[in-house]
Amino acid sequence: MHRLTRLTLATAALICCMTARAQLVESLDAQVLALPAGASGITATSDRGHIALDTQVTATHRIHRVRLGDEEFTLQVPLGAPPRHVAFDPTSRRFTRLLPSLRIELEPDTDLGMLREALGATDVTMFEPLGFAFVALPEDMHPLDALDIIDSLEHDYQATVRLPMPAIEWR
Amino acid sequence: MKAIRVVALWLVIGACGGGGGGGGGQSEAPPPPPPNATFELSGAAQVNESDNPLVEISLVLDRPARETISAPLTITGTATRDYDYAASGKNLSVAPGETSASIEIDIYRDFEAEGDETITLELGTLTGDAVFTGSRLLSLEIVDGKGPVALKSLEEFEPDREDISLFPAYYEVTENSVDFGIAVWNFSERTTRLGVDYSTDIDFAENVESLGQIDVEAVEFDLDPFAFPFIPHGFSIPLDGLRTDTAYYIRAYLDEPPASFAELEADGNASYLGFATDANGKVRTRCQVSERVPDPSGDDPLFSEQWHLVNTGQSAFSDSGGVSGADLDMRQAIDDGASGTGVKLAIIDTGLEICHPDLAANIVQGESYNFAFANMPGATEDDPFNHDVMGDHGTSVAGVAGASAANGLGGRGVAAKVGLIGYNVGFSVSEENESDMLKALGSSESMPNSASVDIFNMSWGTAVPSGNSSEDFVRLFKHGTSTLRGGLGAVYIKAAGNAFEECLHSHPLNREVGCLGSNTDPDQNLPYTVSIGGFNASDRKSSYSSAGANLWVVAPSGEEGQDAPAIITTDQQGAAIGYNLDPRNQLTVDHALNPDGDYVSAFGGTSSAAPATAGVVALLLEAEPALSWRDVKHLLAVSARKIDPDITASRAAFKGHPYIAQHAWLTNGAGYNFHNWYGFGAISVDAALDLAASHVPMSLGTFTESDWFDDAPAMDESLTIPDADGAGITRSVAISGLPETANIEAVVLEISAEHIYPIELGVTLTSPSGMPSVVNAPFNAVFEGFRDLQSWQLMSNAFYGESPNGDWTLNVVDLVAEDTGEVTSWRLKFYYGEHGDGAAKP
Repeated sequence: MHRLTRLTLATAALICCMTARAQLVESLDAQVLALPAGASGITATSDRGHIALDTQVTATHRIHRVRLGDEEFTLQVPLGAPPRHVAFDPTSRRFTRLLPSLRIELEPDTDLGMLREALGATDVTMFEPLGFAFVALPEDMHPLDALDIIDSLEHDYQATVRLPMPAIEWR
Repeated sequence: MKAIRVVALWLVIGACGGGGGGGGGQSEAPPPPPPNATFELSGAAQVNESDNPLVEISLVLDRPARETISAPLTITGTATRDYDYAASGKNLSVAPGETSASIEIDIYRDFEAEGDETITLELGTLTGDAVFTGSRLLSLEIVDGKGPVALKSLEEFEPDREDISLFPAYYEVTENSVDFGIAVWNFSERTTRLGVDYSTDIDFAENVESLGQIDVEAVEFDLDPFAFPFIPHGFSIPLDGLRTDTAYYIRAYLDEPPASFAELEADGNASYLGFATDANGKVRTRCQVSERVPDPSGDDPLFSEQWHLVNTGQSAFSDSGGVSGADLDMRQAIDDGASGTGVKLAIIDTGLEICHPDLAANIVQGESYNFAFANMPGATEDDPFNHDVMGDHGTSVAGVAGASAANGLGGRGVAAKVGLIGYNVGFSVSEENESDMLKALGSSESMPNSASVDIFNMSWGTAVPSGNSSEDFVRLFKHGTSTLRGGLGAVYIKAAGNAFEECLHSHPLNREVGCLGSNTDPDQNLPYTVSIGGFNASDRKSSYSSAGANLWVVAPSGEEGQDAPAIITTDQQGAAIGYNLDPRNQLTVDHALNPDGDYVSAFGGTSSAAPATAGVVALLLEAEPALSWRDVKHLLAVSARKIDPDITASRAAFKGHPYIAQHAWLTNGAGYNFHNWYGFGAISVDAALDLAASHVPMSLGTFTESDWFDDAPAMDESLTIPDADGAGITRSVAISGLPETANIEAVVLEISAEHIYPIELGVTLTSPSGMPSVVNAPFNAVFEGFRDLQSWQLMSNAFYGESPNGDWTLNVVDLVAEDTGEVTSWRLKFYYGEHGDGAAKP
């Protein structure tokens, strides 16, 4: 089992403060670029190629521009929108969200109580027969910060960010 | 030109001499004259290329040949052989004793603008004992078909600038109000106006209260509005002052309000919600029992119109009837009283009216679960009630599977005594839909106890199909099929999809192979789910039913219910509530058979094919409780009825190379029929139950998932895909090392490709037996606007029962010019058992 996989970034203005940086992180099924509100001027190398991020704030919107290879993707988030953790999935070439929770792989020695306490988690949903749990994060905690906290713990946890499952429609 | 058909008349000349007896000795009969030979064309001398016609050219004798008679054939004309057409031979040779010989001219449909062309066929000198009569020249005129089809390139892929739409973003009930949000996408170049009203009148002709009008400005197009819907405009209806026991309708519209509810279909810029108040003026959040008067005979008054159970050609309240026998083939099962007793079926859906008069008797008490109850005033944990009065999908789905029989009310379900459980994952207010889904699908032993369920009905799919199943769900389905039902495994029934006609930019082939492929919906490329397509009352594919190599079988789902029959099932109780208000529904409350509005005749979609199948599975498990989930799948496959047997292959040529985008019915090396529209065919209940009586449970051997086979050099090299070429790129790999007695239960191809516009790609896998399976039909609309394939998994059931060992062949074609690409890797995985003597045979 591995600890959380995170890739090294070639970054211009980065690592100053919690969540003010973008970062490639692994969800269970995809590698995504997490884009906290203050992140900008960032480059990274993903499985799908070179990524450059630029974020601007206008009077009404926060505008994320991601350049992947020869393509540019733009996301406008209204400033008044409910807070959401923005990410970009270079495989599907789409913006997506990080859910305000983490997925923890359950192993025989996994101590969820300690984790819950360390994160100030608001809820833990266990799927014991399936071997994992979802840990709900406090409202003001970015999943990247939660991963940093987990990395600082003595115990090894296999933690990944979570993306929303695709919207469903009735057939 | 009119068709000319030459009919050969056989003039049989008696070998015996003339009558009259004559008493003399034997006289030598004169030898018969040599046969006369003619050169003939089957069908018309003018054909349309777009019909992809096969034309037969024949040398015809008027009596059997006494020796070989042959003649060479010279083919000329403006059409180019092996580019515009193929000819199956270069001479015509009639064997002794035969009266004709033919070759076939296969005229390619090619989507090239070439103008009309000709093929001239000249017959050379005959050799052999025959006399040629007539013309030695035949001419065939080919009328050009559709020219090049231009699909938009990625750069051009943007929505129309007039793209404006709205949708409900949230819908919540509080103690004192109904709160909802309407999101508006305005990618046009103008400002639109959102209006919202509510009323007790569905047509909003009276008692209308306005909640306001808001100008919504246009915004720059955002690549993923699904992930980041615009901030919804919030509205609130205070409950104070509303009438008690009354249905209220909420109407949101853009620019102009619809003239009436019946105009809804014609005006996509409107959306309706609704709720009902209870006796205290609060929003109804629990099922409320309604007294109904049953038919004194005890018969189900709507049963005679339920074509999906017994099709007699009835119209089912639509404007036309179907074809007798186009149904579930369950007359014997009904007569025998098969009912699904003792089997638990969970409906994973929007809700379930557990007190509906035609469902209540079958509800497993206390086992349904309301995922939204904590946030819904008045709601209870075990009542998955749907407070929206515009139709409850789950209640209608449940009726298809398990409405009661012989209670004097409505119609009946396929399994009229199956235990019904409702999980309303669709109305959970949590962002964590995945948690609810996982809990509802068998991973939970309390709140809800889904681990006790035998069959899960999943009449849903992803709104934007893409990608593989999440690892979380793979684990879930493995768990459910390996541990539930005491290890026999729960059965997961999934609606295959309604997207056959949903293309933004379609190619003519889409009309034959469909738009969004069923194989591209997560969870439907796994062997643990059983994907069910739909057929209509005329015994053909339902027009919308998605196609794919992942289909297992098809079940009745019908059409829209107006021109042709849909499915008759349960609806939310009440005349002013439910799908019975839908303009397409012709079983309205004005009809004597639906005075209370508890039923609907316009339900459909593969959402209805799935619960019909779930009901059938309940009948099988009732009859043979020891059947495993694989036994159930096996019995459905073996007993399936070959529907639409004459459907032809979808063929076309690109750069002169013929390509099959979808095969006709084929029989695989193990004797199973398969078609991408129908899987193994239409469900036949009586045949399945008959087979179940002799099939030995667990006789399919251990279910084994192989490792990925990916170490052959051909799987790792970059394969350039020829552009706009029907030949494509082909590579074979030898698979070995699996048990010689293994029988395939599913094959998964994982493929990666770099291509700027993968919608142009078709992917075919061929087994060692020679069975081909188009695992991704070309022009699959899932790729509208997207590029590359990244570890994309495609499942095929077409190889069921075959041996996995031997040479497997991958073929990838790119059918549109200009954008090019390459396959970067591919690999195969096999799911197999070892089907013993006790297993039912096809």
